Amino acid sequence: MSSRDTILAAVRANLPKPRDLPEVPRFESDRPASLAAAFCEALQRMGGRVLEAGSPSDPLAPVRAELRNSRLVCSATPEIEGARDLAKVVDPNTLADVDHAVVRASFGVAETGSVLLADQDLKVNALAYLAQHLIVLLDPGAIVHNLHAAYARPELRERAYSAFHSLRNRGYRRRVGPGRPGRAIAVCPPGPKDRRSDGRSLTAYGLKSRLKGRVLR
Amino acid sequence: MSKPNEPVEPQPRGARVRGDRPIDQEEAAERFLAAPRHQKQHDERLWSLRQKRDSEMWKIPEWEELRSLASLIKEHTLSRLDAYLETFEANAKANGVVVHWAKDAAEHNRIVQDILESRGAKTLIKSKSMLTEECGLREHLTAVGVDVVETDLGERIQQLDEEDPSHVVVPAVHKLRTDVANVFAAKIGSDPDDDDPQHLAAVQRMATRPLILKAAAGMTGANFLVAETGAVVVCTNEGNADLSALVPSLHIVSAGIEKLVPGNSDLAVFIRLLTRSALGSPITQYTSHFRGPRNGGEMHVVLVDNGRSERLGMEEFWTSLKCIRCGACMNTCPVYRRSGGLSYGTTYSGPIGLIIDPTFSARKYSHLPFASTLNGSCTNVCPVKINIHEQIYAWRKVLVRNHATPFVKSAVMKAAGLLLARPALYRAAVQGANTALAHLPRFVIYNGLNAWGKHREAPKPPGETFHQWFKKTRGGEK
Repeated sequence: MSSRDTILAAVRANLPKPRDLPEVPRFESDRPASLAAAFCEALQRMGGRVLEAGSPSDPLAPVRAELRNSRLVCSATPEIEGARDLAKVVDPNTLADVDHAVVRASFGVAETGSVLLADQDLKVNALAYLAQHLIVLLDPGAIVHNLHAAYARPELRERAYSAFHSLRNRGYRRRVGPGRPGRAIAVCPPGPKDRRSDGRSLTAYGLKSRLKGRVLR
Repeated sequence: MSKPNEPVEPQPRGARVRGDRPIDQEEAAERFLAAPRHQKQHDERLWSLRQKRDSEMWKIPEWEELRSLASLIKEHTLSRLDAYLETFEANAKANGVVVHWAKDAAEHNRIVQDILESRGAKTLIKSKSMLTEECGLREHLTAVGVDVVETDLGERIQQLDEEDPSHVVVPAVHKLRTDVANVFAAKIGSDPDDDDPQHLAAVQRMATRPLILKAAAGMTGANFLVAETGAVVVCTNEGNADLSALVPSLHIVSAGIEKLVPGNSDLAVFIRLLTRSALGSPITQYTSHFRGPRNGGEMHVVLVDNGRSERLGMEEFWTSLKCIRCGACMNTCPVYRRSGGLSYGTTYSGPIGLIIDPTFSARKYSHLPFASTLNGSCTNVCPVKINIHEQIYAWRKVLVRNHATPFVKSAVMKAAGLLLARPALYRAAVQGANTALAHLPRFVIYNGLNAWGKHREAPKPPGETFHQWFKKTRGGEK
């Protein structure tokens, strides 16, 4: 008998008596009036930093300002131009010298101040972990209330890879692992293709990296 | 920086492990207690995690409902585990994942070795996984010539120091900053006098990153397996799991068969509870969902039994399989906080370890269920509502029944049992003991038979017992 069949047979022989699967509610009673404000507050509570909004004619100006002194920008979004063509990357480790990566999140989660980055957002999945600094663009209309709403989204059923990126309590920021880039999360309108007509202004939020200036190759 | 004239306190080491002989947790705990700076730091750090957990808990009005849901979801999943394993396997395969099954640790290690060898991979980067610790994978692969590098900061510290992780979430929590500085100085040549945590983290980052970039294969554990989507879910704070999985072209996942959850709506409950319970943060920095290989890569999942299916059939103990390895029971346990995780001499320490370890070896871990005050705090903080303290007590009964307990303990327990079963005899004994305690010389009370009195004073015996008081006053009426 194969190990698979041996294990399944042992499991079957030892199953506890059947129990029902409970229905998980969406817990929407404490849904905040403004999801964008709640998202920003959660982000700030975890050590995020609020940047001033750009003018309506150029909402991405603060992002460009962040990138002005970058040694190497790599962008997975059409709004920002980068120095590398992600479509041509075969080995992810060739992105190890990227200073700033710019990506657009699939959506944000107000409860935890998290953003979901899926394979389609990143083009090369490892980009989010190899770049020294990560700038995430987020449509304020694409923020969900809590993790229950987040896990109902199609990305988590459909994408081969997706990850929530979040920040942690200030006290923990000194513990830096090998793949932890500095991150700035910019809440800004959608890209040119799907821009809505309500002309929302840009509000950008970011985390100043403690590792700035240390490019590791 | 440590103060120059502070005397160095050597790091107390863990329990002495000698084959299958019973682990003497008490002996190792005594050495930990004899290192006051380590003991104090350990106690305070873990207690602060417990306090942060509490403050996160109070922010979530539905916290208790989430705990109940988590418990019910896990119990349901375990009651249909065969079906969920098959669903997960089918969905993972459909996503392009190769699924392997391992009956035990040896088969798990052999499968991983075979995958690596067939691709000529000699270097493996790993993120933290309790299962690979349980299986002794690192030692196995190192012996066959694979260079294994732990990429989690705490785990890497422990690997460099040739010590096991002491806690399921914070593996090096028992070490002082100066201990870490010494390990790094000896193993990666950093400044032994610079024990600033940020500097130490940067030292490790600079030393590890080049190894990550050129590794042939990467390995992660799994916090959850989602049957409905075939996803492997990994929760980390350093991004090292994602680097391990996404930079090399080969990603191997080790996962225990109990990690299954039915679907994404169920997963939400556990993601909300896990990090709040573990560290008092709303969520880990990275919660990653791997459903298939990256572009140009391959992904393997090894489903490991290693005693789990057998535990599923143990009526009193099967619910320990609900554990999501948050470590909240360790952070709150007064014994764990004062004795250090390595004193248990096993992969799973603390309260949850006490009820899991005897299923691996009832002889080797026969003393562990006695390393508890049975205060129930572990049960109160458990996010999946495992009745940990009741199971600890149940294990004591099993082990006493099987004569796996030390003679002094069973003799004392037997005498106590006789006494407690006879109220009149009990009252006479208590009265006698109170008189005796007040007058006996110290050496009679504080000797080897009284573990309780080793590190603390026995309470002052009261002038009269409750029964004497009640008899005299009729419950305060007189």
